[in-house]
Amino acid sequence: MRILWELFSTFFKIGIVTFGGGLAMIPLIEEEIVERKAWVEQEDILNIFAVAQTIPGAIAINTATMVGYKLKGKRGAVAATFGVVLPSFIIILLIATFTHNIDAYPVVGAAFEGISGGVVALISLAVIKMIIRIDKTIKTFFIIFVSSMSILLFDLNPIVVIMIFIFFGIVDYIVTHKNMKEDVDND
Amino acid sequence: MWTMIKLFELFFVFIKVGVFGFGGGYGMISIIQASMLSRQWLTGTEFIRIIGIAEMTPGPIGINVATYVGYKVSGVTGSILATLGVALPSMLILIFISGFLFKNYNHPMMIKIFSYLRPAIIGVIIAALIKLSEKIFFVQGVEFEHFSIFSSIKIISLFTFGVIMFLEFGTKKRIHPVLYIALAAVIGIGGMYINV
Repeated sequence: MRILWELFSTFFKIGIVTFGGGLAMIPLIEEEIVERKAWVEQEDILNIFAVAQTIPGAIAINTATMVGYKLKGKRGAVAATFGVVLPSFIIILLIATFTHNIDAYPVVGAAFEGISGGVVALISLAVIKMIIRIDKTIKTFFIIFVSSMSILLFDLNPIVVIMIFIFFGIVDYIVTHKNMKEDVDND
Repeated sequence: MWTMIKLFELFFVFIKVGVFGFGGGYGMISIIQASMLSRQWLTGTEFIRIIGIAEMTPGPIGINVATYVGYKVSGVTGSILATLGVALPSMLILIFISGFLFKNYNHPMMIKIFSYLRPAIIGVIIAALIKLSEKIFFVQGVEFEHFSIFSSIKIISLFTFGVIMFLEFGTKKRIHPVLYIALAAVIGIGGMYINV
């Protein structure tokens, strides 16, 4: 029960400060879930990001659902999902009910201009951390390069990119598996 | 009676958004837009304003748009139904998938697939980050089919970026991301007063 509440409240906190959508949640997940709480490891969180991106729906919420599930099964998934959705629900409802023109206040626009620059910085830092922690092989850097360039230069849909690399993973598995079998047969 | 039917329809529209909204917020927004305009529940200008507000407020953009649109169409009940509609499908799909995934997490094939997916997702994030920075640091000028002419740079955003990078790498202190966001807001508001 305690852990469910902790999941809910942690994702509630993350939900409050996630300016700029799913991408902006990555640095906060890294800080809170990976480093402070150590609920999931760096490798796991990258796996989770990959699945979250492939499934329909908001990436931030999908990530929360999966982290919740990994920790405490179905109930954990529900707790984390509601935790991350509730703040934005409450904030939007307040804005819609009480102010009809929050976007007309210059202060809001000015603060947002600073925040958006800050968000880019935070995501950059998170990416740098990811690269520092991933196993540094030629294969890894080659995949990073190919997947980013296929989106930037050829406008490929990220889901397609992910599907292609799932396919490569399966092919690689089948090939190595077959080789291992042959080695055993040859002996 | 008619309001009940409208609420049902609203809920199912957002279930549809939740099921078919691939690729996060912006994938969902185009479906919401098409559904709202075809039913004349919102006008185009109203919708663009809602997207602007959804981007400025915390939380996933797809959810923010859903909540706001739901409220505009049918008040608080509408906002609850729209939010649930958009969040439930992926939650159910993921609970189902996670069960399978974490059970077979140590299967050699899974390990192999994820050894490809981890660097691939870093690449995806880098691409998204570059596209995002383009949007945030430059004011788009005239839009052409494949490119746009940048008419000006947003100095405040760029300056905030620089300050945070300096604090992270130039000092030995460990600063929580939330503090950075607060600092970024202060810099933005400060910039307004000294008129950059």
